Amino acid sequence: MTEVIVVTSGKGGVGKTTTSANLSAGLALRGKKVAVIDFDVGLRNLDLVMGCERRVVYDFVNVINGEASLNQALIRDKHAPNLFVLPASQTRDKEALTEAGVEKVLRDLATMGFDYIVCDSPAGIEHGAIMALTFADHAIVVVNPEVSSVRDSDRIIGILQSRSRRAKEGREPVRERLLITRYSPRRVRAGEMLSYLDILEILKIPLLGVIPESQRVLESSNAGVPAVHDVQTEVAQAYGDAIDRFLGKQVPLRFVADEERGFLRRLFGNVGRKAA
Amino acid sequence: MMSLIDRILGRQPRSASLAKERLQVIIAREGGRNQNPELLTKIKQAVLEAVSRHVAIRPEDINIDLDSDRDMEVLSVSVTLPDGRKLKAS
Repeated sequence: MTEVIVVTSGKGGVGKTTTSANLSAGLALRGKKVAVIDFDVGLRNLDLVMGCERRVVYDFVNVINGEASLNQALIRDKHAPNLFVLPASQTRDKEALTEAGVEKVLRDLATMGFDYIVCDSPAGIEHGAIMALTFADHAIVVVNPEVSSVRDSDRIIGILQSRSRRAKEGREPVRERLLITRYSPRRVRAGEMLSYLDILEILKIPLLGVIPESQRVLESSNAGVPAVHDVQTEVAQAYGDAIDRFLGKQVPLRFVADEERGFLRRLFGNVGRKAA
Repeated sequence: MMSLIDRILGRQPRSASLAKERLQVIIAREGGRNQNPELLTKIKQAVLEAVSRHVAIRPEDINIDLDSDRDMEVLSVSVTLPDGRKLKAS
């Protein structure tokens, strides 16, 4: 059975493409056959983050229009042999992404024996974002601990619950889970940043993981190698934990506590702190 | 900025908790996935009608908030009366 996962957020710049790259690479490293599709027509970027930009010949819209076969358009990942990237086109015609066309590509990928299809959604709530979530079985809602991102996540959750095929056909709803990225335990402890518990309380969907803010994310996109490959890093481990949870494992939450405790705090402990 | 005393006692300064409060209010109001997103608007119209029978008020004199604290929801309606005094009903 092929499962379709949409990585979505509403707001731009919160880490959807980074998450799509790491999720698909991580699933592939765990032996799954994975296709990751860039739905951001006109603003192709997944290819760069995955390091395959120079091997793009055909794209998603070419396949939908019958100008190329899936086999021609899918780019095999350099690091994981069972991972394939389907890049977005650079055409500005966003309507090229027809619902019937998207459905056919997903169905063809299913017959090719893919375990997971990861749909990297564009920002916003326009056509491309709707197409990315329409056929989803799972949704990973990427959110930053920041007011506009949280509000947009609430919007996108509402859209998932009304516009997805599962919702329209009255089937079991899309399984939504929250991935909090760019999290700084230090700033949370200083009261400058929403905590993951605050965000969960507001958005009320289950938590998939918390990815700490890290310079490694920029470095890995510079190199075009998803962070999960650099297993010693916190980011790789946090993504790895999230992927293991996605696959049903019980994994304790890491990297959410600020470990550097000053002298006074060690002395006073949690005096005066609000219970979380 | 946290004062030294706040730092020592580990008290939360305002910004993160302010963010949380503001989000709870706006999300309740907009109801991105609220079953009935028009609910607060309808309540507001009903309150406006009811109060207008007795006192002349404008729509902007009515402030409605839906707050949720874990499994409890609090609907608070405040109406500013023309003379500046507030009639508050929760």
